[in-house]
Amino acid sequence: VNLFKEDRFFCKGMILVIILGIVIRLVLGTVLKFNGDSYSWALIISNVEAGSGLYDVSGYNYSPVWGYILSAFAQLMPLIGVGEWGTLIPELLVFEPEQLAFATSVEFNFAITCLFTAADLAVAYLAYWIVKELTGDTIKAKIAFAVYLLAIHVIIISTAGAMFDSFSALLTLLCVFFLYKNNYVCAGAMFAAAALLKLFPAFLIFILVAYLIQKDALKWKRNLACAAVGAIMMSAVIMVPNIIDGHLMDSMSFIISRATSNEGIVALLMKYSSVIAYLIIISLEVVLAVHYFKKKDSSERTFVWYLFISIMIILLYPGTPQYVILLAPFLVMAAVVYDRRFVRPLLLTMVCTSMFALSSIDIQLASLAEYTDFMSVNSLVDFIRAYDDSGLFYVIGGIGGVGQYISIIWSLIIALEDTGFKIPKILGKRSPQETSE
Amino acid sequence: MEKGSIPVYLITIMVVMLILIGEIIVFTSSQDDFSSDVTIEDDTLTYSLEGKGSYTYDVVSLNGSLGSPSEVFVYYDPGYGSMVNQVSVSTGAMALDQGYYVEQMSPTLKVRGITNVKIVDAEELGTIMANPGYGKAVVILSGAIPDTVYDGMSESVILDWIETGGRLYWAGNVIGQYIAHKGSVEEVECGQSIFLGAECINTEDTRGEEVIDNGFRDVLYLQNNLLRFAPDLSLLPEDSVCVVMGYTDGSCNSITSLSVGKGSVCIFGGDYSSRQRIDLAQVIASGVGPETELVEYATGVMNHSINGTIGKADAVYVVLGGFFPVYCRLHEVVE
Repeated sequence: VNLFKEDRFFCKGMILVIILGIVIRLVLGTVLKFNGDSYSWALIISNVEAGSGLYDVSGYNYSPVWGYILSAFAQLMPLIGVGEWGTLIPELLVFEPEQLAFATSVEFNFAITCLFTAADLAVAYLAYWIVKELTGDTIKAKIAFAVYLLAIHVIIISTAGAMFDSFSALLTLLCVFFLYKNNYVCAGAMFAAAALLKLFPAFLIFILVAYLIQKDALKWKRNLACAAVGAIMMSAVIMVPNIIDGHLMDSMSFIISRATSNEGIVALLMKYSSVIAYLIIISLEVVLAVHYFKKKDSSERTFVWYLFISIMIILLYPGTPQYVILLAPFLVMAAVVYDRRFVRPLLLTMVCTSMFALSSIDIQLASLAEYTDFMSVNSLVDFIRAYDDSGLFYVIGGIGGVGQYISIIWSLIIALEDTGFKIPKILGKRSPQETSE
Repeated sequence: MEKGSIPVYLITIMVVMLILIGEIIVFTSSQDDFSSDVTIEDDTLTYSLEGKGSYTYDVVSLNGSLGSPSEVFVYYDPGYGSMVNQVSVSTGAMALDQGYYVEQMSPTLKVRGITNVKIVDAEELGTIMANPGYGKAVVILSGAIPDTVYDGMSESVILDWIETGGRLYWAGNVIGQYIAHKGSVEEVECGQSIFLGAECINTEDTRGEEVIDNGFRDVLYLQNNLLRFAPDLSLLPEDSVCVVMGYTDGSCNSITSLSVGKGSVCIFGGDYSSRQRIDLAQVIASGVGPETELVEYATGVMNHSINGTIGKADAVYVVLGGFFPVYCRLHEVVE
């Protein structure tokens, strides 16, 4: 805390945190990379540069936003010195799934990590800005920045995980920022971009609309219309060229084709269980928005609190490690601003999400084995075999996945208690008003 | 404007710029951003490559190349029976069925310089194969050959077409074993012998764990190592002329190209996969056939452009991007 005492943002402590955050990411991200995803990013860039767009050739299963970001960033790759993007390691073809036989080059890994690091820095800054606005306390704001930037699970997802959920969190926080600033067109635009990047932020629409109505009882229709205009404009900019090109269904395949893996009864059960789960989640989101609306409290503090609960509700359907990145800045803010009881679930999610993401550590070493002298490909093959035989993948992944889910439920229980819902007093109770002072 | 908000506005501008610039790149990038040229200079070939970024490059000189096919016909007729196995794909991806595989062939070939691709039904295939096959390529992925060109006998139209120089590219099941009729499939006894001269197809779901060391796997960036439906080389007639590529288990190979009359049959092992499709496109575009030999190849990283020389041969195949190809072209060398 002493390191953060200076008023200015770039104090000694913050410089140290920023340097640490960047260096740890660049080192880890260069040597450790989940090759299934980094291979996909290289494939998408090559398809775009070859003139095949995002959807002409198979390989890209998301809406266009991430493809656009990757394509723009790829223009910088030659400047970073990326020549070779990756290779196929024949020795790994014996393992399933076969796309894991690819290893992206360390230069490519470094470049893509730069992109994710930039997104993490931006998210950390927004967490800083929001905490400062909510509390007026620069030290708390700096702590939020530092905790987010150095949170091990955020680091692992942005480096070894190679997933772009930090952009999803960034766009959601930008939406919150513009709501603060009463710039509803931009807020709507950011919301649309976030929802089109990854579906989860779309579920926040209920709480966002409730806040808009609550915030200005006289002008809410105008404000809502402005937000809708922003959202429509952004959606049009992102989607219309794809619709004209006949790729609407392709760009929606991340929603509609989640269970086309032809795995029989398991896929069918997953398909219907997820549909039912998300219908329940939507219902809960509506209930939460109504509860918030009835509270008649338009303060930003209460809005961010409900937004935090809203995100936890989305995550009630168990997901992969990267899904919690959307929650991460809010959980950090909750621990710093609202209730210190969130520190424990925050620590639990840091450890367990990292374990979950690193459970495939064996194949995350492929780039290291192929492109450096630290490890040979034969050693990697031996390690993968030993790792598979030991069952550690299931142990680490299982503990990590369950722990991650427990941390979400734990946070949700605390949040609901603090909101006034009657939850059995298994965790001890303290009101947000008491702890926020 | 509040001082602390300025970085957030800057972040917003950067994110929006990333999205917009990326969108422009997605919709304006084309094959015209790249070019390549090969000229004869005494006893060597001089090549020059140009592109808008930094890529790995491979320049391969080949003797005995089949050259670029004048037309590529991909057979697909949902009204006719087919015999292919369903395969699983990763979550979120489109199901890899015959229709999607066929649809993907055209853009996959386009990156490799083949733009004259046409999807044809059973009737159209019959019409095409009624004419000499020289210089033309037909891709059949249905696992069953339509009765408009195949009746399970060695005098079938499809065999005449191959023998007059046609190139048949096959994947998905045992070649020649099934005849496709409207709405049904008929099994043929010893159908594979009609095409290959022996009953030699591997029907076990095996994989090639060794790279075939004739260089083709490296220069063509071949990916698929599945060996089901691949011919066992040791069972082929002794006088068979063929080249194998990709991966092997010692007897079967992921890609086998055989001479049949003046034409060729090229068999890709395994059930459907994206890797198989990419290999298929690469082999068609490179013109590698049963008698093709790799003469020499140059490789490295190109930054916007590169020039060099390579051993003289019939054809030169250029690959930019390696396993992530952005541009591939076959240059036929004419003195």
